Amino acid sequence: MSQAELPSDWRTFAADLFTHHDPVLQRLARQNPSVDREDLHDSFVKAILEIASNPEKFDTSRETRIEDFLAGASQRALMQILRTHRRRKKREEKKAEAVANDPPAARPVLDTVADCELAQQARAVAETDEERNVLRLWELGYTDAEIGNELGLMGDGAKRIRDRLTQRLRRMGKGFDD
Amino acid sequence: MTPEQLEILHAAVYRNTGQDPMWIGYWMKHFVESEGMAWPDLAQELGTSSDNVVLLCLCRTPRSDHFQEDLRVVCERTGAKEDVLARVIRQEQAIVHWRGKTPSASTGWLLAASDREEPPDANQGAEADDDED
Repeated sequence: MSQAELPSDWRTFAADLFTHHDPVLQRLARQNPSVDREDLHDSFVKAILEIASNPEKFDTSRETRIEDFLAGASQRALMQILRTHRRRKKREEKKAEAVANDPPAARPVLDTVADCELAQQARAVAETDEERNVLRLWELGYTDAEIGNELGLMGDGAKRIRDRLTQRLRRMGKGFDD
Repeated sequence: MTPEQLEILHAAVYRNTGQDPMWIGYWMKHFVESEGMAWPDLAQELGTSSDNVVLLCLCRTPRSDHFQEDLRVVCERTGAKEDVLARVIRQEQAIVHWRGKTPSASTGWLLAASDREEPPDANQGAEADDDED
């Protein structure tokens, strides 16, 4: 059985894959009738960019037509997009709930800090890019795990950095408790 | 595909390629934004169609050490004028260099949080990546 043939020139690889958009997107739309059109198109584009960036990572031997191969890769990219949407929605719901209930302990630590005009001081005691980045993501409502994932920190790296900032603020006589 | 669907698809290409300097779309997106022009205007300036501009966005950024050769290949594929495309890419690369930032949109805002000085050749990252191919 012959396998789906990928374009040969890496410089125009993604552009060549893109020309198959019509049948692939039609199939994606049939398979995912309730999914937003923008997400379907994003998944196709993400898939071809990923394939063109790392063609060696993709196994074309199981498909005989390039459209089948692209539809499979796009479907996988779509699942990733939908997972990201779900996570974001969950985070926003959690944040909205915390703000609505407004018990200080349930609010992100920097909301409290901001109320006390300490956010700026917290930023001021951050000494490294890593600390500043952790702080910014925390302010945006990211969890430690999400911060770690976003910044490529190992284990409980985000929490350790926040603890370090907390201690530094305490030494300065400011409140920055979890 | 309806014109509306095609428009959504083109927007997806501009959006996704515009996040990574590996793609020509990254430099073109910054160009249209900084020049305040529309994509069809850029297509006209490049002497090609809007459909081909989308394909151009999906082509890889020319390597610095094979710039003319890579440029010729993508322009032959898309019908774009070599001199105009070269100017667009070079201009945007120069701006990135001048700002002293690594041209990675995926981490750009995090780096923007930094007040640390970047090395003077920080904008060569994309080209170095390409050279690995």
